[in-house]
Amino acid sequence: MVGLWHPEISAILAPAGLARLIDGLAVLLLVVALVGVATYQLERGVWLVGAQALVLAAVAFTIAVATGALHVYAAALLTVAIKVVVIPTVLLRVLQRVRLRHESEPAVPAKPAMLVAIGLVLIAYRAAHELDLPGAVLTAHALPVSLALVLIGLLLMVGRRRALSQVLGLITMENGVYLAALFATYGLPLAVEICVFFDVLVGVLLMGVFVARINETFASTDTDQLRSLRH
Amino acid sequence: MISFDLSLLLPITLLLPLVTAIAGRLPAPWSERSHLAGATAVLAAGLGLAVGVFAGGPLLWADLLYADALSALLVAVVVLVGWGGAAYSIGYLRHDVSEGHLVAVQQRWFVQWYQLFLAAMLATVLVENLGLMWAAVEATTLASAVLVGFYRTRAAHEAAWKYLLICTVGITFALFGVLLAYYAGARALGDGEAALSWRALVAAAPRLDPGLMRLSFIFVLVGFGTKAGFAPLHTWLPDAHSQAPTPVSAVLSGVLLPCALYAILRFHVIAAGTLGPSFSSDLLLWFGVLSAVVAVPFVLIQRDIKRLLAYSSIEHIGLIAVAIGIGGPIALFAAGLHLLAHAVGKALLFFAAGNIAVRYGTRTMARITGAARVMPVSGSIVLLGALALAGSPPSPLFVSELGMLGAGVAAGRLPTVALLLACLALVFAGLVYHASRMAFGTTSARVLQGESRWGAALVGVPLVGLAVLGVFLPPPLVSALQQVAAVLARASL
Repeated sequence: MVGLWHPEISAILAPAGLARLIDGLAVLLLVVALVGVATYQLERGVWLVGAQALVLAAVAFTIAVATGALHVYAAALLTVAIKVVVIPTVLLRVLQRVRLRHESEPAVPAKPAMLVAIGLVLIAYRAAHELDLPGAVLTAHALPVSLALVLIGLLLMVGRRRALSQVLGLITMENGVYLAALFATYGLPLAVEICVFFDVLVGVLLMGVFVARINETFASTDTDQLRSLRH
Repeated sequence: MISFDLSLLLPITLLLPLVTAIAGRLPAPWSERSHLAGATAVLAAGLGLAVGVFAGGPLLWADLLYADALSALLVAVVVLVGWGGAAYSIGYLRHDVSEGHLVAVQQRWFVQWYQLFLAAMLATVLVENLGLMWAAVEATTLASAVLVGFYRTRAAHEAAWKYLLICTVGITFALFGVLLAYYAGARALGDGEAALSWRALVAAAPRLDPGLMRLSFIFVLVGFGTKAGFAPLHTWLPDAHSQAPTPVSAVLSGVLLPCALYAILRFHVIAAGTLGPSFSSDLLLWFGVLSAVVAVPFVLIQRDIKRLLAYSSIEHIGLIAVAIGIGGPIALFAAGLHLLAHAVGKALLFFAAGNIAVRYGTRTMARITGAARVMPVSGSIVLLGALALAGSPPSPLFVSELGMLGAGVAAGRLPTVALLLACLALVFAGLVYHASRMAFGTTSARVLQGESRWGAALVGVPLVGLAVLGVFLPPPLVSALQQVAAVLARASL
């Protein structure tokens, strides 16, 4: 088993039509991420990130069914438990604590951000085509979507002012890398998988604590105020 | 005599800081005592491990923990500077609590997070699996972010947030690089943990797919390079290193940056086995040169003493990367010596600067004058340490810089060497200028004079040690550094 990019695997997937299902899920993931770009309400953003993780878990589950590998089932379960349930709960609780539930980004027109995001998606598809990775590319949308998610996550981190939006961008990036891991190598070895999830969880918890503290110190979580340190 | 399996030192060295972290939660003064005792135990275990590896070859435990000469050097650096920071932190935190910068209970939290930070760095250099190494590097970011934001001021929060976010983004890129290496390894070695084992990947390097490894190294270099402070990804560094409590700054500058570089180097050896030496070596060289160059103006126009030291760290990590990029036995030896000497020298400079800053109540260098009279040991060490750091003899950094520049000339990289010489000269001038303005001159009568014996010893003794090393390298140390060079030399064969 060396990943879906290996020709032999197509024999397993093709009859069940699972390849088309995975392709569809990848595109769905991209759509959810793009909706996140157009969303400026923080609470809705958290729900969308949870939705991303749900689609990601579905991809993992599909691969698990196709290959029967136990550690991929475990990966799917971990994704659901940590990225769909725990992390969004933590973030929503942070929003509640800093009373930002209905807060949103300062009024910025959505159109330029969407245009840039779509541009990034096109770049991702082009780059995936150029990358020329060995092995037959079985599902056409796997690698481009994961690259696109990384770029969209970066866009969110750079273009948003609320600290929590930057966290959502980071989680989007991580989802992109994880999608690539699922496609290339069916995830990582189980021990590594568990450590990675643990790191992500603790990271988000810490970021949540920091968002709350920044809110206390600055009376807002607007990161434009975090600019006092120059050279 | 009971025979002791040296490889047991591997898990012991990793567990001791964790135990200390828990023990640090005890009510004071047990917290302080257990911190010092624990740090001493870690020091003993780590040095024992390092000596064991240098004397007897690499150690392996449970196929999980592995220490070769490169790991051993870093373990020694972690436990040495870690101990220094722990010892320094006791008086430093007491002072902070009495001045009201911190609440008393925070001292116990400090011990916990500090020891967790050390444990994460030890895990980075001791685990054999590259995926687990990635997880350990991310753990160091998480633990140290708490420490960076420890004072909970606006500036501290800004620094901690930037640090946490920028480094986690970088590490996400590095994960993609690890994943690509895993994919390449799985194609050659089959699925499972073996495909992420460093030893297995190095052995199988010629069979790995070159395109994958090229991409993998680039992502790893950019990703872990963010953590190592390579320009242009270094923007988080001056803030984080200056806002953190002084003992943490010492560890961040002297130890964490080399640990991040270590992670890159593990991939460098694999990539060089697949692609030949020049690809990864050249990339390391260019990032190193860029870092050294970018640091120069910020050192010259600097106003804050800790930011000055932080930018100096960027320059020095750049120099180590350049030395590794040049390759060859002399440059690699110089890289190891530079790593060790910089860690110790930067730590004691931070301690001395911390003493001065606390006494004068400010980190702004323009407001600090006459330090040599006010605090004889710390004040003069600010100047002597700056000289040592800038590479003036008798400093081991002079030896290592001479070595790497000489190797660069021998390798025909004359423009690079000329550029680096210019950078070194400018930084020398800058450091001496700032340090002498602080050390000499008169000072207002409001500043208390005198210095505690403990504080003086903590910075004085290591400086003497460094000066001795600048003149005479004991044979065991030479042999140890040669072994480190041999590990890295697999990348330039």
